[in-house]
Amino acid sequence: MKRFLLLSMSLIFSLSAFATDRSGKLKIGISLHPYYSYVANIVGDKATVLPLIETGFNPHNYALNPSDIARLNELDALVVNGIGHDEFVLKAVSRIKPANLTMIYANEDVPLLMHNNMPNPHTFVSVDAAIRQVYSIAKALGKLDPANAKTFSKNAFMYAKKLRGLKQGLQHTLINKDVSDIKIASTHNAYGYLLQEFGLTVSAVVEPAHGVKPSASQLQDTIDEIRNVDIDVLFTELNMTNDYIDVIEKETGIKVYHFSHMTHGEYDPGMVENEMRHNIEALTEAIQFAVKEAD
Amino acid sequence: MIKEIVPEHSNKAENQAFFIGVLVIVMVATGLLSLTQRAAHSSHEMPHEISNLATQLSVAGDEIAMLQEMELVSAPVTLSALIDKDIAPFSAFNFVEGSAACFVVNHAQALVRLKKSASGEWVVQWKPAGHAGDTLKADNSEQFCLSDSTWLDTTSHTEHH
Repeated sequence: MKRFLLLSMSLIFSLSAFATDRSGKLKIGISLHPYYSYVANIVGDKATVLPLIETGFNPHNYALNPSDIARLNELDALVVNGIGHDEFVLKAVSRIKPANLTMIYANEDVPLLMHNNMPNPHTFVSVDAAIRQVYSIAKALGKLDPANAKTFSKNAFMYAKKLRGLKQGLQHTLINKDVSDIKIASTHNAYGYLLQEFGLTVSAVVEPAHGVKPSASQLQDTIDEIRNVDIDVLFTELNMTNDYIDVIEKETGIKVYHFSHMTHGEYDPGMVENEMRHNIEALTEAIQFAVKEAD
Repeated sequence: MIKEIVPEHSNKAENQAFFIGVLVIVMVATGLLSLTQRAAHSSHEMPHEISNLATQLSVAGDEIAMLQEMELVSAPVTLSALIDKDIAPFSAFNFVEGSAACFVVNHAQALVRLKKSASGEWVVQWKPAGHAGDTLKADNSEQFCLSDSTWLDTTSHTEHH
């Protein structure tokens, strides 16, 4: 009896999976966590969103395994950062050339920050650049599924409104405040887009590359720079243990704040909103501290 | 019988001079090339300070199109309508409007504009605001809305295809 029940259940599941495939819904792959949130909010229940890789891997140095490749071959579209944060996907796609796959380059319409002739790929940390990407993705998906194009566009508009709402409190706080003198250091170059939204720039970057610890001499240079330039606050990555941050903090007395890089944890439609809220709260606290110090 | 006499050491100085000449030419050419590239690069790289403004304008282009589709903003769109609808970044900056759906602002030593192109798409463009004739005023806005090659697309560096 048990065996019969199990068989029936698996038959029902297989049929329902078959029905989903035949329902005409798009299967949209994403390379990074923020794109899961963007696409899930754009499509609602009108498409299926599939992360290309499991959680817990570093997208900077990931190599696709056979099950990832099988997933890649099932997709109708793949949303990518395309400017340096998910090179592993671009390489795999150019090698495998999946049939019927439409690539959606989320940053196509984003005015990028360049450094040494290379774009800064961390556009997803910024509210405005995130909204720009949401609209570009919605437009591209609308072309693939014209029947749902209006829904995608409307959902994108509502999602953009939600994201923009997150920064209103800080914008209000900043009215009539001159923040141009606030000096900021960050562990890596991920926060330029976000800080610029509030009129701030990064004066010093500690890590030579993302996740690469500075050498002893580089660390000493950073400590000297923080002292010489009189940097007020240091932003570092949430959920990442960096012993050298403690050294910098101890040597310079600088105040440290944590930003989310948004590429860790579970894939969740609400992740971008939650993490952005956290980042803006941390930024508000940091600005209030720096302004108070200056007074 | 004719005997050719070649002096044994006569080519040493000649060779030296030749190689020095080649070296000088290569060095001068490399220097000129790097100067040209630097000049081309610096004239085309968008200043960091306008990246966020350009992003907001690019978003605004999409939102204007959507609002017009929903008939919440009428065509031709005006600056006051955009400020009324609280579309970023029009209320936060001193924009000047031209006659044909074109809004220009001078920010961080650059002129940035949102303009409806002939194909109906909204485009964001910029150019350095260093020239004497680049003083933006309400009564000379038309000259900043002309289509000419001095205006650069803010996304022209995005290459991935």
